[in-house]
Amino acid sequence: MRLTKEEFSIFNLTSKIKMVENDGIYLIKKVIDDKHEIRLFLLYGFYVEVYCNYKLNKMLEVKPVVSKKWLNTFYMGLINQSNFC
Amino acid sequence: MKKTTPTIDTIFEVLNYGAKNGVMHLNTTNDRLLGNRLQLNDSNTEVINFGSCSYLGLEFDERIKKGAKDAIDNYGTQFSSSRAYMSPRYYEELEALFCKIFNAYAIVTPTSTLGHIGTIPVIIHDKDAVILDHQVHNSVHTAVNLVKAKGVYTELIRHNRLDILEERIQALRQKHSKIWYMADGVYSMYGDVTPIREVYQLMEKYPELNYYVDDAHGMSCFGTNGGGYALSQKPIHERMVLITSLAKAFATGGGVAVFPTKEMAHRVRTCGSSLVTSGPMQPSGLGAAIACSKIHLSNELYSLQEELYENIKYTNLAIKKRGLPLVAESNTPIFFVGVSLPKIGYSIISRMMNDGFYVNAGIFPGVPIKNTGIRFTVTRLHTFKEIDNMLDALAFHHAEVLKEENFPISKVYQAFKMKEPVERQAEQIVTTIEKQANLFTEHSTSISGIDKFEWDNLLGNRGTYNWEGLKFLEESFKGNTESENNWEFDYLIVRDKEDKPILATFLTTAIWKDDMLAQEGVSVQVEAKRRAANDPYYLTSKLVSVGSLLTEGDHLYIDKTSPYWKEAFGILLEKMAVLQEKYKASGTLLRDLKQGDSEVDSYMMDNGYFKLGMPVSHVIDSFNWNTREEFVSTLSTRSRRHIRRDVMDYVDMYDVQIAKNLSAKELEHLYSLYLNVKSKSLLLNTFTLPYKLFKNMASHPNWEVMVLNLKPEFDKRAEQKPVAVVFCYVTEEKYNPMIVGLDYSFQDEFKCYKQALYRVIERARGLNKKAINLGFAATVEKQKYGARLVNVVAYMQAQDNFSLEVVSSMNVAEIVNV
Repeated sequence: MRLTKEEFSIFNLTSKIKMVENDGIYLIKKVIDDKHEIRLFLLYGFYVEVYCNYKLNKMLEVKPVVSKKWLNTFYMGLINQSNFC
Repeated sequence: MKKTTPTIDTIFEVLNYGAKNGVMHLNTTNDRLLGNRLQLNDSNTEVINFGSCSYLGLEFDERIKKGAKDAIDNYGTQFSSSRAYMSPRYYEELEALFCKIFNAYAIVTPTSTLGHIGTIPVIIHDKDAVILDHQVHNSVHTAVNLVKAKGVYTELIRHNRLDILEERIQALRQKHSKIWYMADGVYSMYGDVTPIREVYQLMEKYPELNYYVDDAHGMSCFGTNGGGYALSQKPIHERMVLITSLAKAFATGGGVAVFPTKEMAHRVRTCGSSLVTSGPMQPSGLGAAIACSKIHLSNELYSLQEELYENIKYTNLAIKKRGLPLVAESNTPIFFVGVSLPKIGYSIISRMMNDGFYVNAGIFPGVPIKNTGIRFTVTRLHTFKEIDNMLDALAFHHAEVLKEENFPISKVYQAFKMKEPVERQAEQIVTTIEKQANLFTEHSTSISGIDKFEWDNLLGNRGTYNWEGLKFLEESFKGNTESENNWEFDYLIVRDKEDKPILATFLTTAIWKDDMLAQEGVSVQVEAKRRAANDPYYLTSKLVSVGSLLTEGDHLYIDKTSPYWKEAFGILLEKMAVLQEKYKASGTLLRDLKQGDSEVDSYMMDNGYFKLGMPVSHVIDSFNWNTREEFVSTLSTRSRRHIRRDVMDYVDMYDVQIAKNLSAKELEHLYSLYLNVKSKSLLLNTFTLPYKLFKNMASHPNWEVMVLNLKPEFDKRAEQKPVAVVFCYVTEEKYNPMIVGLDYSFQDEFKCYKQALYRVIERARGLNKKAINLGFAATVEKQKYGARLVNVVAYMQAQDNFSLEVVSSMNVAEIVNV
């Protein structure tokens, strides 16, 4: 079932992780420090950022991307803009 | 056939039909259950269980299983003693744990039903009043019936209508120092909830109000320590009692009664019948419950609750996205998708099972028969994927089956009084046109629009409803002051392509008393309430009915040799639904149908009607006699004795005539004789007929007014007047005595009713009629005259069953009083 960003936001972290794991398409990641990275997924037609502890391979936070500008600068144009909705 | 309440027969028919169709009374065949996969009956295929009330999936928890096993190892499979004598040690520990869970005083009961039975008779006193929510669980009704039998005042109010509750509190508080409102925390069928905070506000406002809540489906899923939905909203109130179940999300079996004070708990523990005379909860259940209570008192429970809540949120969204008609949206794990008719529900369930999903039928008596639905539950064990797949299947089959059955979705919304999404309305028009493609329906709102010859040919000889008779009724039942005496008339003839009638009937829409077909004892109670409330329309409903309140007999012409008779019947039911909407009626009724027609029985049940027994009707259709003595000789030996003694010995005391040109005064007297009978007869409890009708009868060529006067030597009054009257409608073949009037002061001495009956028979014989329709009531009497009994039934569909339940709830008191 395709959810909108607003609908996705009502679920808790465990559910969001399940949805990302089951239905998300992994796109790209950015390493933040020696433990953490942000992974970008395309899920139900919108982008989702997943903040991870990659050493423990644990997702800590999942949230839809809300700033188009930020997405563009952060991932330096690697993302297909048509999928940003 | 004696008049009966519809419940048992209908439950049997509805559930048995489900069992025959392989969707009810199922058995699992799994050797071992793991999670929510079931094997059912002989099928080797697994289905995912969407019917479990174990919402947290705790039945597979190793700690709880170990608790049960250890208790069996220690105490055996049972501890056989009444708790009045002794309880196994586990009880003390478990009740202490529950006191912590609920932050109140708790008693463990073997089941929640036994909890109600043990608690209600102890806490409700003779002078209390009980107000039940219409949808409160059946087990509460069962226990309330115990106190009702002792004379405790009880009444039902519409579901979750706290405005009505407040009105009733205001009315009852003068007489009753305690008023108990009984409701569920989470309702088991639609999954909606009681507005607990509003109930508490009322308790603050009215010190007489006490609250009794069954929170079986809220237990564990909601609240601190899983104390349930009610306590998740507010802590226990000093005037509140809570009963809950351990056989749903708690997953161990058993029940708990929760009280605000130690004294109250102790009193129920000591005097509650099920705690004194019933067996206890057994060691396995107690051991499991102790282990489960410990989970409830740990933080782990909140993770379990949250997991369940995620599934609930997901399911609500998924239902919305698929446009399924969800009857009540809430945050509970119970969902109810409307389908309206049982056959549609069963068909969808059967298809769902073939696709690998088990869901429940939400069916009568849990819901009104027309409000059948697919009830399903989600538990913590379901995955989003499973929920998605199940709802994909449900959305697909829901649409397919409605299409197959030519049942527009708009009718589903209508049945549940829900607003239909606009885009669906177009579908309805298409379906209706398709359905009627092979048949043509002639519809008129007056008999004047119907061909007289054809009508009389089809229905003219059945009773008082030939063409002229109906014209007479139309004229008599319009323009009256009382709304109950103004009827709407509709005439239907369904024809095939060759213009041949397949079905013909007439319908009237009028206000009926809801107790009309109830037992006389019930009508006595209802009439008392109408008088007390000064409201003659209390428990009355506008109904669209085949026939009318003043006609009797088989009103339905149907050519069952036509291959399209069922389609024609379907059109009749559809038209009745349209008329119900048009006249804002609350139900539809087909009456006077032959008893024992299994084809019609199953057709009507498929279409959401339930069967009601009607009073027996009586017919005399044998006239092999010429003289009075010959008439007597045709009767049985016993009847001969009666008729000679009670009728023939009085014949010469009467002057009988067919009255013509009655003066206003004479007619008023005859009307008063009718009123005498009306005030005594509650077998078919109807409204009083208007005077205008009698005026019309007196001047109509087809009506005869048979008047019985006592000869002057027997009537010593200063002014002699008729002592009995019978208003009879005459058709070509039949004589139809429709209304009787009596002066009861002459009844014992001159047996005027018996005389009137005989004179009717004599008159019909004299006119060379083939039969007499003797109507309802007085079976024993009419049989003495050689009347044949005709058993007939009615089929009813109500928009909701509130009024019917109120009426049927009165039966209990009556039976006890008898």
